[in-house]
Amino acid sequence: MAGQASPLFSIVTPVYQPPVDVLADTIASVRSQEHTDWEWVLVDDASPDPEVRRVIADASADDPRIRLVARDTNGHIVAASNDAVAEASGEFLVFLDHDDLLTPDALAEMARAISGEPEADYLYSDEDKVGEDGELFGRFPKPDWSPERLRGQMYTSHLSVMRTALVREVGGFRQGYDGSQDHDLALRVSERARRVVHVPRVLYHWRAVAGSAAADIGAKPYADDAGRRAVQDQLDRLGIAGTVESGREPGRYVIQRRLDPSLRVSLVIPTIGQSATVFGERRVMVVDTVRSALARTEHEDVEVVVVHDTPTPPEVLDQLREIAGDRLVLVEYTLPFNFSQKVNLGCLHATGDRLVFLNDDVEVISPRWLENLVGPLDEPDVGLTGAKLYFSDGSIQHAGHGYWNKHYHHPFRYWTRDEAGPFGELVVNREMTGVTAACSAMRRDAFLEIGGFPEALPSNFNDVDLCYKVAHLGYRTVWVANCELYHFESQTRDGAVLPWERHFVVRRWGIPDVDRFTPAAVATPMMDPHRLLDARLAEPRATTRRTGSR
Amino acid sequence: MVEPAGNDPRVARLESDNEALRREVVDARHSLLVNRDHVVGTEAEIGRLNRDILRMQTELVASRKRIRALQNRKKGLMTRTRDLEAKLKAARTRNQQLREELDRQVAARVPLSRRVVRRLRGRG
Repeated sequence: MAGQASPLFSIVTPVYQPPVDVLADTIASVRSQEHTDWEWVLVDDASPDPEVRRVIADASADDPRIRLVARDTNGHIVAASNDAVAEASGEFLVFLDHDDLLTPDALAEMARAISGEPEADYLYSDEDKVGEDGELFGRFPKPDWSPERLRGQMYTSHLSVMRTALVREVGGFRQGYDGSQDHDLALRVSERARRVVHVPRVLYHWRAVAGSAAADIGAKPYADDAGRRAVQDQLDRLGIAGTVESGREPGRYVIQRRLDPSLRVSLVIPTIGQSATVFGERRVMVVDTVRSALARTEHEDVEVVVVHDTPTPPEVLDQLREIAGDRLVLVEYTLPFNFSQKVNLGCLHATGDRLVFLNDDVEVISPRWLENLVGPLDEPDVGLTGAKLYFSDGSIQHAGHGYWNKHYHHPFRYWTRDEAGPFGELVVNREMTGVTAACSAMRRDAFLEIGGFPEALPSNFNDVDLCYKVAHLGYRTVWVANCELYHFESQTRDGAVLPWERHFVVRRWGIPDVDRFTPAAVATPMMDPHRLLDARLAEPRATTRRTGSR
Repeated sequence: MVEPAGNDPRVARLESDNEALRREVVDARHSLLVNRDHVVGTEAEIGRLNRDILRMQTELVASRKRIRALQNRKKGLMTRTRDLEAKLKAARTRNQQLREELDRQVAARVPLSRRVVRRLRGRG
C-alpha cells in the first residue's frame, strides 16, 4: 500500500457518449483502488446524452476526488484530453478511457514501481481485454522497454502512466493525430524520459465492444495514418534516415531505412564452397548467397569478404570474382573448422564501418534488405541487428532468440510468412535478447569492443554468447522484420550440440530464466508442424463442431 | 637507366615485406580481439559469480534466521521437556508414596479370617 511519500496520481479521462452502465463500471473500478492518493479529471466532450454528465456529477458528489469538466462544444479526443491534463494537479498522469477498467491494484502497483525507480518518467503495464459479457481475454504480456518496437506499434498502450511535468514539457497531445494521439505522445515522452519502466502485471482491462479498437484493430482507419505520421515525425526529430509505411495490418508500421551512400558495408561470409539441391536445382550455396545479397540492395558501397576453407573449389572462387568483381576480398582459412574464428578473421580483413555476418546457405528475399538491416545501427545504442529467416517451405526458421526457462529458444519457429504473430511480433521491428548469426549486423566499433565471436565456441552457441556480450555492454539488439531471407540450414549444418558448449555460455551468463523482450507466454505456442498435425488429428470432432456452429 | 618497377627486386622485396607486415598486423588485431572476448567473458563470469554469491548470501541469511528460529524452538521444547520430566518425576514419587501408604494400610488391616475367628471366640 502507498505510504506518505507515495505520488498523487491524476487519472485523466476524456468522455464522449459512453453507454452509461459501462461508464458506471469504469467509475466503480477507480473508486475501488487500493491506493487512495488519486484525483480523477473527467472531461465530458459535450456528450449528447445528459445522463452521462449526471452519472459523473453523482460520482463527484459522492467522492470529492472526482472532478467533472464540462466542455460546451465537442472538441474531439485531443482537445478533451488536453483539457484534462491542464486540470491535473498530480505528479503523474494516468490515462484511462471512458469505458475501460482498472484492476483494484493498478495504482498501488504503479506507486510501488515508482518507489523502486525514482527516475521513472513513463510506466506501462500489461493489459487484457474485457468482453461485453465481462469475460477477460487476450492478455498481452509486454516486453520491457523497446523503443524500436514502439515505432512499429503502440505496444505500451494501457495502462500508461506519465510524469505530468514531462507531458506538459512536450506540449501534451497534438492536434491532427486523433486516433493515434496516445502513440504520438508516448513517442515524444519516451524521447525525453529518464527511465521507461515496464510493470509486468495486468493492470488494465480494455473493453472490446463492437466498433472499438480493442475488438477490431482496423475500426479507426484514420488512426493508422495518424500513427504513421507520428512515427515519421519521431524519425525526423531524431535524425533517423527512413520512411515509415503502413504495415500489413492497421496499427503496425514498417520503416524503410536509408543508408548514407558513403558508408561502406562489409558482408562477411564463411564458406567451404559446397553445393546442395535447393528448390529442385543444384546450387553452389555461397554463390547464390552473394548473388541475391548484391541484387536486392540499392546500396553501392558493399564489400564482400569471403573466408574460404582451403578445400573450396577454385571454380567457386572464380564465380564469386565474376559476381562481386573488385568488391570481393578472399581470405583463405587453413585451420580446422571454427565458425567464430572464420568470421572474426573476415571482419579483421573487412574495411567497412558496418559488418554483416552472413551464412553461405542463405538467399535474400526482400528488397532493400541491407538498408533495413544495417540502418538501425546508426543509432549509437543499437549494437546488433538480426533478420527474419525462413525454411525453404516458407515457415519461419528464425524470428529472434528467446532465452528463458533454462534454454535458448527460437520463438515463433514454424509460423508462416503471412502470419503477424500474437501481438504483431512477426511484422514489426523490435528489441530482442538475441538474434542468429546466420544474418546479422554490427557496427565495427561495437564488434571490436565486445571482442567479436567467442573462438572457444567453434560451432554452437557462438551467436548466443555474442548477443549476451552486446547486451552486457549496454547495447540494444534489434530484430528487423522487413529483412527477409531463406536459410537452408539443414542443407549445410549438423545440429548436434555438445554439453560443454552450453556449459561455456552458462558459466559466463548464468542459466536463462525470464526473457525481457519475448515473454514465454507469448512465444511458447510455437510447435513443430508434425506435432501440431498430430494434435489436430487427435481432436477432429471438436474442431468440426466449432466450425459448424458458426 | 631506371629499372621498371615490376622487375625491380627492391620493389618486390618491399611488397613482400609489406605483405608480411600486413599479416602481422592482422595477427596482432586477431590476438587483441580474442583477448578482448576473454576479458568481456571473464567480466561476465565474475558478474555472474557475484550475483550467485549475493543470492547465496541472501539464502544464507534466510537459512541462518531459520536455524536461529529452530534453535529457539528447540530450546523451548527442551525447557518444556525438562518441566514435564520434573512433573513426571514428582508424580512418580507421589505415586510411589501412595503405593507405599496403601501397602502399609493393607498390611495394617486384620485379615477377615482372623476377625471371624476372634468374633467366634467372643473377643471381637
